[in-house]
Amino acid sequence: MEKIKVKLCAGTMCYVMGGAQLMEINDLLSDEEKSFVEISLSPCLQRCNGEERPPFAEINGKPLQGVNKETLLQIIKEEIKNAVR
Amino acid sequence: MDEVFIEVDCYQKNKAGNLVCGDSFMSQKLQDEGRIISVLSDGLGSGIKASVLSTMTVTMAMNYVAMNESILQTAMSIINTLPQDMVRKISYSTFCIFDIDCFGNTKVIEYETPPVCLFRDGKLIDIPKEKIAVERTDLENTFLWVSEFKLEKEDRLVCYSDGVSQSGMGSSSMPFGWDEGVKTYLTALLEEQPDISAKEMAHKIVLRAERNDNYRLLDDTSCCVVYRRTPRNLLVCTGPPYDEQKDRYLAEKVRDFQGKRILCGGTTASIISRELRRPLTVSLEITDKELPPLSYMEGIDLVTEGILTLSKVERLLAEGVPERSHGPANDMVTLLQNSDKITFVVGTRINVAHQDPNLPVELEIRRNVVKKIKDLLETKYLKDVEIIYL
Repeated sequence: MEKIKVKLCAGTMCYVMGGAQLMEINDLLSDEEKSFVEISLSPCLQRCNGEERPPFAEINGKPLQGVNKETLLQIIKEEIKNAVR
Repeated sequence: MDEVFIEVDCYQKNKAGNLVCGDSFMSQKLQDEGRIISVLSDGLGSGIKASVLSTMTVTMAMNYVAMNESILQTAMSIINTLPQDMVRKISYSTFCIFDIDCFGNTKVIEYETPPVCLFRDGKLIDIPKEKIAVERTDLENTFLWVSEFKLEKEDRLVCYSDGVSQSGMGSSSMPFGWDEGVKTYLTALLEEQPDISAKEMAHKIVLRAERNDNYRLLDDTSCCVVYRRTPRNLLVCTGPPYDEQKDRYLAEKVRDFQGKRILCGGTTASIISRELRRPLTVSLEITDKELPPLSYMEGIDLVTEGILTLSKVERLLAEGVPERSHGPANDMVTLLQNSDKITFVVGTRINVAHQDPNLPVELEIRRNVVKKIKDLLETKYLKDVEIIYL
C-alpha cells in the first residue's frame, strides 16, 4: 500500500501561525500509524498572500488550511481508515 | 578585485573563577583610510580593577594612534591617566598596538608585553625594534619597543598577554612557563595547518595555555592574531527580487560566485532551485526550537529560512553565541565569522502578509535587519561587507 503523503509548509508565515507546532505531528502518531504515513516539509507553498488561513499543509495532494496538530491528526486517521478499507 | 585581506581576531579567557577579564582588546578599521588599529592591554592584577585599567588603556591608545599622536606622548598620557592601585602604589598596564594600512605597512608598539611574533613562510622572523625609554615616577626601566615593517601576504603577526607566555610556569614540564614553547608550538602548528585562520590560531593558543595550567588559568589570557591573507568570500542571498524578471540574474549570480553561498529564505531558495534546476529538500530535523529547519541544495553551503533566522543572526552577532547552542542561525554566524568579504544580495519584494498586525510575533523588514548585520560585521568583526539590492 502506498504511504499517505503529508506535506507541511515550512515557510515563515506558516511557522509563526502554528506551523512550528504542526511539525510535532509525528509525536502524536502511534507506531502503527507512522508506518502508513510519510511526512515531509516544503518550502513556502505561496498560499499566504490570499484569502486562506495559515498554516498550510497537503495530504496526498489535497490542500489543507488553518489546521493544528489535533485536527491534522484526525484528518490523517481518517485517511488511514479510507486507505485500508 | 582585491586579492588581500587583513584578518584580525582575538580570543580571551578569564583567570579561573573570575567573572571579568583583566585584559582588554579593541580593534577598529578606519574605513576612509583603509587602516586597521588593534590594541591589546593587560591591566595590573586581575578582575574588575585590572579590567578598568586595561579598558582605559585600549581606548586611549586607539584614539591617540588614530589621530597620529606621537608614541611617547600616547604612552605618557596613558601612564599619567591610569588610577593608582592602592596596594601596589603604581598605575600599571601593558599594551601592544598594531597599526596596519591597506598596503600592509605595519607599525607595532609594545609596552611591557611579551614580544610579538612575526611568522613568514612558517618561520619566526626577527623584527628590528627601536627602544625608547619611558620616564615614570613610580617604576624604573620601562621601555617602548617600536618597529615598522611591511606585512607581506600570508604573514601572521601574533601578540598575547602574559597569561599565555607564563602559562604552565612552575610545572615540571615547563618550569619557566611557555615563553619559548609558544613559538615552537606555533611553528609546528603552521607546518600542520599552513592555511589556519587568525581566529582559529588565536583560539588554539589560548586553549593550549589553559591546558598548560591544568585547565585552570592562573591569569587572564588573551591572544590576538593578524593574518594578511587571500580573502574568503561569502555570498548571502535573501529575499525574492522585486522584479520577477531578475530571478534568472539572481540564480546566475549564485551559480557563478567564487566562494561560499548561503540562501536565506524559502522563497529565495525556491527561485534558485527552479532556475538552476537543482532539487530543494527541507530537513525534518529541528536543530533550534526557535527556528524553522534547514534545507539542502546541491552546491549551496547553507539554506535557511529568512527573516526569523536573520533576526536571530543579528542577535547572536551582537550578544555573542551562547556555548553549546546550535541551529540554522548558529550555522550562519559560523560561516559569516569564517569569511572575510561578504556580499549580501537582498531581494526587495516585500511580503505583505508578514506585516499583518495579527501575527503573534513581530517580523522585521528584511533590509533593515541585513543593514544591522552589516554594521555589526564591519565594526565588531572587521569584515568587508557589501549589500546589493535587487
